[in-house]
Amino acid sequence: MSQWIRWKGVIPFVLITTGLALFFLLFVDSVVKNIIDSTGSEMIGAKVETKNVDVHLSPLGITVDGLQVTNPQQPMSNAIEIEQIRFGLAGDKLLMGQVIIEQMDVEHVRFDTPRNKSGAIAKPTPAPPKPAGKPAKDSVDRGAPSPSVSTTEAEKKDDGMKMPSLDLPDINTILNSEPLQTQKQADAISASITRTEQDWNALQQSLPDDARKKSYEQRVASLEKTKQDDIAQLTQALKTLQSLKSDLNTDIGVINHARKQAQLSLNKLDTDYKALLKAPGEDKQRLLNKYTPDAQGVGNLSQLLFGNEANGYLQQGLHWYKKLAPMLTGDEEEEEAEEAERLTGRDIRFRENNPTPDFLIRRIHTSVQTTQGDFEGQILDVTHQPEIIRRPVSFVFSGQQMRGMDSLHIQGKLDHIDKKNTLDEVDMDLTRYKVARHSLSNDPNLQLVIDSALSNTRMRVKRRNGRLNGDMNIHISDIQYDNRAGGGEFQQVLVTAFNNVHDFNIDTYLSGSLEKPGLRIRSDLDQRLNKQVSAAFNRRIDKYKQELNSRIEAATEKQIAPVRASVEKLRTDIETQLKATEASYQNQRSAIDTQLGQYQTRLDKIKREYQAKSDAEKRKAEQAVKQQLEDKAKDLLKQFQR
Amino acid sequence: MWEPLLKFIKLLNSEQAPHQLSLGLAFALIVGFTPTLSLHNLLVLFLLLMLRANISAFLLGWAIFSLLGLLLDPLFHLVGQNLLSQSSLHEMWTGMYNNSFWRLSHFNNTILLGSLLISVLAFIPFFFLSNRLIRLYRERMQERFKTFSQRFTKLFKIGQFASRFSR
Repeated sequence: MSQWIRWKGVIPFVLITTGLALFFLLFVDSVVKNIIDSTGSEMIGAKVETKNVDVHLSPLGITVDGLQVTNPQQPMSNAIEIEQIRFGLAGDKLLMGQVIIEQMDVEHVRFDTPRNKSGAIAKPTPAPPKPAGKPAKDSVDRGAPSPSVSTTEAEKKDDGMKMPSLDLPDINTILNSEPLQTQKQADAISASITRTEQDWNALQQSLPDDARKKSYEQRVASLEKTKQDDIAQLTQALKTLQSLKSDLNTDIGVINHARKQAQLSLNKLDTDYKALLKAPGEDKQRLLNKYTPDAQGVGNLSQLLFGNEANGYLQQGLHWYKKLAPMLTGDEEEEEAEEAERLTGRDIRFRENNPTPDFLIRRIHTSVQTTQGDFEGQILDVTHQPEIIRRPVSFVFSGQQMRGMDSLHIQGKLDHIDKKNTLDEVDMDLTRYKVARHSLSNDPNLQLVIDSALSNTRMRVKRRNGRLNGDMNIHISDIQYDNRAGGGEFQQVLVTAFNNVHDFNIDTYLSGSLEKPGLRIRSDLDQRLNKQVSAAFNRRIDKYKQELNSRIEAATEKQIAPVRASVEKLRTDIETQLKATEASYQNQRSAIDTQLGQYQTRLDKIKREYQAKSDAEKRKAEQAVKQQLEDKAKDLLKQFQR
Repeated sequence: MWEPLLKFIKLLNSEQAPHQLSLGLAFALIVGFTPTLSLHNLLVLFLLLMLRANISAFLLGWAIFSLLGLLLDPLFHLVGQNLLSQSSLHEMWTGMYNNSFWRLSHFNNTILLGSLLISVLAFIPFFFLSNRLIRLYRERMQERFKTFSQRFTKLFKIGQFASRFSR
């Protein structure tokens, strides 16, 4: 027995297991801290840092102090900073590989706080820069004047509601940067003209030439020696003329064929030419559409005023939704499951007596600090397996008696219980928010500032099965302005019109998908300002349109004029030459026909004269014979009587 | 590359009983094939230290079987998946799944179950086979190999010294 059992072996076993336990106790805090920092940084794409992590065993739980999540777009500021996160863990479930947190307290959450050091992390390959100068119509609703709502870096940094510049783009810049369809068509038709000329040259080769025409004339001239009373010569002349006529007919056939071919080439040229004539119109329409606001755009001043800012908020909201929603619902894990299976196998789940997800936070209580004051909230049932607990992730935040507003209430849910039928929704009510020194314009010649006002906001946004649907209504009232205009007529009109408006509504409608969200903004401000502002705006736009129109016409006429001359010349050349050649041959054929007639008449006459002469001689001979016979008969009768 | 081989030859030529070497290697088979941080490996560690198994043979075998285990992972996954999806065993698995001890063992992982089953089944045959092979080696080949391995060890040490000196 003793050769098999080593009783002293219990000592290293106890030492190893105790060593492992001690290692856990001593280093678990650092290990968890590193896991939070590295995993968080990888997920956010910027530094996630914790000041201290404490893992306590009795009761089992973790306390995280000083969590900072860097804003990836602005590395010198934190998107979120949390003073402390505390939570307890269910020990028995943890042994079974499940992380179950009954209550998590998240204290003193603050947004957009400054950082001492940049939180940017090096990326392996920088993203390629986005192409500049893309018209804003692609990102916001149709109807917004595209040059006016282009978003620059400077505008993005501004906090206020900035009215985009109403300056219309320089016409020279447009004409230099925009390729004209007319130019393309002109190039195409130049090639077409060259091709037609080549075809025509080839056809000319096949047409009867001057030598052939002279040979006909020589053959006709040779007939002049024909004796007019010689039947044989006349008959020979007739045969020659018939042959000449046949040759002429063949040549006229060749000319007709050439005419048809030339006509086909000219028709093709005509088609290209008509397309060229249409091109300036299309160019005008396209450039006018692209660079000048249409009637709808002029009327939709709210889009012009608030489009950029609303789009900025939307992009920011969607950015964080895309980052946070998969973490709360666990949708991102499914994509990696297949890959992980090959390395670590697959955990098969069986029916549980008391089903519990692998990860669950039943309740997160949080307090958020903002410049307007504190508000509190709770998030319930955070799990990546909502189908097990049959409850969606839900959240509610509310603040009362905050500075600059009466109340703020946000609630929503992320329902991913049925992965094929998901619904995420958020509702927000903000009452009596005090607006102060809010700028509507960044035009140096136009100061449009809401000095003070009250706003009530109500927002409902849903995302069902990937499709966004939402609306937000903002009512702004008790408005006091600090407006000044230093520019032209339009600015003056705008300031006067605004000074008469003391309350208005803004309605925002969201649609599309996360990848291609559509944002539409309507406001009764349009109706109130429309009459005065749009009239001035329209006058300006009409003038701009006229100028753009005439410049486009001048530019396109330069392309068309030489083409028009070339086409006309080619057409005239072809038709003139074909007509002349054909007329010449037709005349020659007519002359030959006449000559043929004359020769035939002459021949017939001679034939008739010969016939008459022959008949008279015949009759005379018959008469003589008859007389001889009568004389002979008489002689015979006389002899008989005798 | 040569060092483990030399150590293995040394072990074979040592005074250790063959069954101690075989036991060490057989335990290494289980730990090497199955995921290291598993509950059952605590039991293996306990048995390794309590029974007179050769630790050096275990460590050497662990390194070799861990590499071999990586290649056999797809097979383990297949075996584990088949077992866990057997309808006749479903009730048993469900019962175990609802038990904290078995859940802690992580038996419901396809690779863990497949590798554990194969290594446990192979344990006894492997023990006797390696025992027999070691005995055969010692009876028939040890003397011949002893001289060769001594020379080889000397050469290896000279080579090691030269490579260190050249740095």
